[in-house]
Amino acid sequence: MPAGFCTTRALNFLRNDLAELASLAQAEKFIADADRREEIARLCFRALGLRPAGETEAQAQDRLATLNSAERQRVIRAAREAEARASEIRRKMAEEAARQAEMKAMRE
Amino acid sequence: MTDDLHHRFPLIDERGRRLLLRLEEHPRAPRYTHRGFNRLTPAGLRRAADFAAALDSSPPRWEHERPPDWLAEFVAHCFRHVPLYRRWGPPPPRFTDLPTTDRSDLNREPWSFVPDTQPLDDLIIYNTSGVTGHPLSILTHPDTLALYIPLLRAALAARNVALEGGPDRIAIALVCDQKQTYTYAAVMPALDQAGFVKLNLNPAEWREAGDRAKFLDDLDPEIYTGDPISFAELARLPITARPKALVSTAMVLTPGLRAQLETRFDCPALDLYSMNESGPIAVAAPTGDRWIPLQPRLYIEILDPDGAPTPPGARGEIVLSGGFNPFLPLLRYRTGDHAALEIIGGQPALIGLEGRAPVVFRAADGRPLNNIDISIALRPLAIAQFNLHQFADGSLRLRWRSAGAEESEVREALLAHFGATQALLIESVNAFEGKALNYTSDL
Repeated sequence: MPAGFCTTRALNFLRNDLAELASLAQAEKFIADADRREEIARLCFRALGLRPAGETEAQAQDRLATLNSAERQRVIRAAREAEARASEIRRKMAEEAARQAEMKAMRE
Repeated sequence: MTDDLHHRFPLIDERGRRLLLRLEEHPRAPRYTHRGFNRLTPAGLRRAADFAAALDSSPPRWEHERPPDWLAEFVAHCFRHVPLYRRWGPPPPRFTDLPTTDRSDLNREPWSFVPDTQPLDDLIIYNTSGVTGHPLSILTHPDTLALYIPLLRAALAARNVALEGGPDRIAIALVCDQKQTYTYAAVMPALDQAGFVKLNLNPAEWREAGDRAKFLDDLDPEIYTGDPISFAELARLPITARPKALVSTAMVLTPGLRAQLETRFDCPALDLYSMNESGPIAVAAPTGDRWIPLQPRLYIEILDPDGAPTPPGARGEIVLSGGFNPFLPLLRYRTGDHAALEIIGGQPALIGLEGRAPVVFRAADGRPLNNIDISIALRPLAIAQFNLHQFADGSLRLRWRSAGAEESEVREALLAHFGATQALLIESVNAFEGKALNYTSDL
């Protein structure tokens, strides 16, 4: 493989692919969490046009897709849960505001 | 007892009911704007007792650059359960590397401060006016509000005053003097069914202006709480009953007004440093120059304008972490107030507390003048409220409400600092819109 070709791919991985990954999970997770560690290693392999020894192209793709989608699902689920909780608190706040207005009944 | 009454006061008993009736149907009572409630739970009552014990057994203690032990666990809790802090990613190794938060965060999304683990039953909201342009909705709970009582008791104990409470007695009268505010009567299970009233001294809220003093004399509350403006008005009323203490919050109580109030009511007047976001933070020592922190789990830092901790004894912005409101765990919350922190033998004290950002004025000869100097100059004078503004041309305008001080005294005190040739316009005003900032400048 020509050295220049690999350099371009590596730079592209560092500049673009990692930026997208950074928006999905915290950097430390790619060290501490086994699945994320495997994901980043496989993404790096793919970006450089390599694959782990003993794996077919199909196996490598399949394994990466599994890791990738699990994390995406987790992020989406967490975001959804956070929004549901925020909505629930806002709803309770609105209910309480209405109740407080009712307590004013004596005066008006 | 009616269902309605039990809904408003789940822990009320027959003595409390009688007292509430007396407060609400008193012939000289004001026209309350709201019906009072106190939805304290039995668990909350026990928690208030535990909190009171903790105030005694573990007062706030730490050393410079050595935060208290509970802080690490509190930070971990925040990063695990609080949406706002979780967004910061993993906690940095050092506490001082954490970002700071402020009123704008709370104004924008109060719900992001609520831990995921916090039940939302019996939520209470109170809305505060925005001194700095950010009105706030504070989320809290009846059981959390009950913790103000032990804190108030601890502050009073520093002046050897015991807030006893008990049935058939009014423990606290919270007085305001505003165009408009919520007013109501309640009974407090945390003070054994003692009464509480929130009143507006504005005569428009009463059937007759003369009812104010007669009502308060008949209630004979153990203590009054309020701000310096309300107390200046309270002192003018022909009240003869003697409270055990006055507790002033919300704005700086000048030593001049404090002395005047202490003479007028023959009791101590305490200056309590308190914020809606945190509850009572510290109480002024009798000397008036230092404020002693009250809460066992509220860590206070002093930061410079860049957010770095100041050296011991140097002034900066007061920043809070911890607190007792489970709906609002504070992490490095910038208060907008300034002081220095002195720690002697592990006991912290705030020195030279000033509300809001410091303002640098210019004297007639061009010298810079810190607003603290102006505060010191005005201290001996009985002033209820003021705003000192310096225009771009260097001229000054003082707008003020006297609590007994003469205009000539104020002029003399200011010119002594700014110089005899300083242009100074003094305007006496009857009312400020909300809480006036003490110092502003166009320079």
